[in-house]
Amino acid sequence: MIHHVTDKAFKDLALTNMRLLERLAPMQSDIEDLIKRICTKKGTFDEVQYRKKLQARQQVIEKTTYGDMASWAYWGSTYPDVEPPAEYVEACNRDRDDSDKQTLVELQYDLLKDRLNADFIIVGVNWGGDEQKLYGGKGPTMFRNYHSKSVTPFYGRKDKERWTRLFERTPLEGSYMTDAFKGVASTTSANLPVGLTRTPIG
Amino acid sequence: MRDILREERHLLGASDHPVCWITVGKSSVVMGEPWNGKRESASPDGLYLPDDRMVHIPFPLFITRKESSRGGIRPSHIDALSETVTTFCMEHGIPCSERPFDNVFSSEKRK
Repeated sequence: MIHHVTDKAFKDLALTNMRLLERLAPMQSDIEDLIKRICTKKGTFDEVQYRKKLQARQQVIEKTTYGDMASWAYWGSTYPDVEPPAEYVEACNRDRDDSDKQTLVELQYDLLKDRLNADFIIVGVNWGGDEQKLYGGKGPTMFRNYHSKSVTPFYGRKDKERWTRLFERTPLEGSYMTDAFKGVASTTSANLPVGLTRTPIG
Repeated sequence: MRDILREERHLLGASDHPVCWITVGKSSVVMGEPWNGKRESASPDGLYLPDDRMVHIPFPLFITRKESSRGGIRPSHIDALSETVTTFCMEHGIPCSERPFDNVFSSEKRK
């Protein structure tokens, strides 16, 4: 028997705050090291960029929900497939408030509900985006992770096609996808600070 | 971060039945106790339940790349994924073909 994802589960995942600020506090120095490394190019450390990234990250991470960090292993036939029709997204972008967000989540659920399952959980390594854009893109749409064009090269076009094709028409299609290291952006796990990857966290 | 994963499982509505975990790369560090196969008992922190299964993929591209002299693909990984998923599906009455991940290789071969 397939365990389907209820509308409550979908909404809860989309909108529940992860309390990342508090949860990542013990790793703050490791995260700062990672950002320092990102802001060091050809041996030159850009302190202005570093401070900017830290500040932006702090503000964004306070609001991060599971829907900002996780997603579903469903891509369908056209990109991006997890999103409601563009006109709804545009309308919500014009007048952002919590009720808009709720509406978008409901629309997303209606589109995806028959395809999702709660039997498999896929755990990737870490979010590959930008510290200043933890939401995985513009606008309030949830569950963009793994579906963003900006997440390259790991999920760049060629590799994304392979990755998505792997799940197509298998029981894994529509599974919940999440990252092990949340709120820690790095294009490859090799860039993660040793302290983050050597020992289990939390 | 295990407490976050536990909360995700709970929010997903998967705290009352076994799930099959597919873990990739260094995520196994956060998973805390890397294992492949079937879980005998619940983990002390409640992240895992009895009868959960796990299959670990060392690196995601290993499961989808063509075999090369540099060791891009490891057929054993796709076999392990296929076997774990198929067995889990059989145990829990989830529809599944015998070789669910053949599509990746059949399309690669056509290129």
